[in-house]
Amino acid sequence: MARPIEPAELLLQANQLASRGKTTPPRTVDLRQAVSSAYYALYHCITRQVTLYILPQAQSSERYEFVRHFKHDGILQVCNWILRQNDQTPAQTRECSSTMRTSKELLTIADTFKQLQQQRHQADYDHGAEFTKEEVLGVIQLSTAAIEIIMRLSKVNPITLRCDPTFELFAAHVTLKAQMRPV
Amino acid sequence: MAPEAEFELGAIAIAEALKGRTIGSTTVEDARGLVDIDSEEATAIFLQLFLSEPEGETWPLEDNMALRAAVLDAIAQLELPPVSVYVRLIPLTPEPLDEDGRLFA
Repeated sequence: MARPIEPAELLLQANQLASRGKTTPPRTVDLRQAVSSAYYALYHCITRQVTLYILPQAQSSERYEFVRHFKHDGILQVCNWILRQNDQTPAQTRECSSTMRTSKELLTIADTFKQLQQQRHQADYDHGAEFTKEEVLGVIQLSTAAIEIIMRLSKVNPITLRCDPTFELFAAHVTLKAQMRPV
Repeated sequence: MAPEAEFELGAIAIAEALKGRTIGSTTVEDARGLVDIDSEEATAIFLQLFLSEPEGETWPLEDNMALRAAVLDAIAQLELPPVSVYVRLIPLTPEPLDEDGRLFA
């Protein structure tokens, strides 16, 4: 039986790590792992909800297989198009990126994903990076808020049978950036 | 002007735009903008916001999100070439860490 990766469980883990030791100082290793878990909670929420949008009638085993094709840097690239940061938006996606940019909620998701991915990188690899309990708890809050937005935008309207139109654009472009892993 | 020089000036300008601002119950006591390489190996702006002490264990979510929106607004005003801007929130007097955090001390 599959035991899927649950974003809510990752957030719970992040909170437990960051809040450990009410009476003793937090441990660096716990704060770093909390940042990493907060990022992965958001990553897995995005890929899961995008997969549900792309394959609404698939079996869960088919969705767990499909979800592996998403790439961290592919999602980041779409976030860059929305935020107009780093990447020049390709001409073929300019109109769609412009529409995505009109959604404050999508801007929040893109900004949070980008910030968290950079912080995860520092948390996991940069020995010189410093984290405080205050900042890490803030990072977990941001991840939680972004996940709530994704869940809201990706919810299918029972009458129109569609989800938020800007989320549809986001999901389509994240899928475009997905790639089959080499066998 | 070379992009790196523009980014250096942009980093200073964004920090100046944020310094002294109060959003909700949180004040940006100090701000620093640095240019460095990010995890995509691209030149990026790294903003450090030194904030007033939070009333609870961290700053209110609304303040945190409004600060990030203020940073995005400041970037938009500057008309910089596309560049990533990363924000770190730092308490003026951080809670001390356990000894395990002092590998290089």
